[in-house]
Amino acid sequence: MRHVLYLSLLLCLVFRAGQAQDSTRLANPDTLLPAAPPADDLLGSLTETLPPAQLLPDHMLLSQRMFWGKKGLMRITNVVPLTLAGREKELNIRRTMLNLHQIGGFITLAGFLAQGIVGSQLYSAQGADYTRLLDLHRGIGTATNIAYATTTLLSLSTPPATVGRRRGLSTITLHKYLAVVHLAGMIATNVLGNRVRENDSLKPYHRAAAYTTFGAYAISVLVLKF
Amino acid sequence: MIRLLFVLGLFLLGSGGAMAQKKLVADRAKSSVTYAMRHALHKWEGTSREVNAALVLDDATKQIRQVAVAMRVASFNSKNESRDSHMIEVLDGLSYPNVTFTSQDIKAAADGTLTATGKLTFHNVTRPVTVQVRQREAGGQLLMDGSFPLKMTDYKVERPSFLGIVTQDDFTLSFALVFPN
Repeated sequence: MRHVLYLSLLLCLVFRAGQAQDSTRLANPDTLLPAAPPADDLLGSLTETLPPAQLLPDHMLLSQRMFWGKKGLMRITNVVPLTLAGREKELNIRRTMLNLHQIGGFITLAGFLAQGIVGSQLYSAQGADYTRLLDLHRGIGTATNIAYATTTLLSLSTPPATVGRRRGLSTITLHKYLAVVHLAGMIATNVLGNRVRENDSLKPYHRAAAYTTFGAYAISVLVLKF
Repeated sequence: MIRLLFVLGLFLLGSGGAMAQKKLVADRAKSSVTYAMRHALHKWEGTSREVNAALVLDDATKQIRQVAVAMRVASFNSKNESRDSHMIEVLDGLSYPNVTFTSQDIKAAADGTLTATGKLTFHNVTRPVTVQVRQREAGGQLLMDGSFPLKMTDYKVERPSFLGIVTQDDFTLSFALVFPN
């Protein structure tokens, strides 16, 4: 009787060992289960391997890194410590600033359109009409410059997003590339606009710079739709 | 001694019978989960290719007993990092970084389609969902896919807005999971 039991036990052990080493039976021998575990246990094994939330993105604008980076001004002065609760507040501030950026963007776009209409009328205006339109053109120009600068500063000074810049072209990347174009155009339009007072031959260049700025700006707004 | 051997033998035989179940872990490189949303101006999709999923398969009956899926909110890519960041904001993805699903009951139809009821959790809200799952085997892999509608407000998510217009409340979550079998 004892021998029979020994033999049975030996057979069981050999059978189990054979199963454990049979890699064709299972995707992973370590995944042998004595019984189906609760699905929550199954989930637990999956969530354990998920990385924790990242507080700051890997890539930031230089202006953002200077203020909001791990060693940015806000961190080293301890004005805004880098904590989860702090970052959540920062993201709320960021959203408010970006909403204002959108509003400022449309005000600026309206300013560009008004400048385009008034500016084109200036070329054919004479006498008192010319003086009146020139004053209006300069007034709208000042207002547009203020709106543009405010919109730009709101964008550059926001706390960083949670996702940094990725490789490849996207609508937001295009929006940023076009911002470089319209910023350069804005500076050129202003410089040439001031010099037109002394040198009338610069008018076509001023107009070309203004139209380029408006075009790049309008496209940078429209691309966000897609 | 004889009793001890007898009990040990019974234990080994018994545990051998329970081994008809196996756990399969999804191939992350081939699996994905995608959300599809709509705004008055456009529609878009965001896909996570960092999906952790596992299932328990009854080897004898080939029935799927349990399924669990987990991924990070931050792993969804809609090809616009600003939009993805906005989604993490509205989902409070720093405090509640994961989206998870656990099955509670899985029923197989005659055509092989599965009806899985379970719990979907994100934004710290857990709600029951019922998902129709198509499954098939190909190339030594078990493929599962399907989609189901959801509402952001059901999960207490503040709908993201663009140009002052909020997105539609309804959105779709679809999945394609590949398990090496």
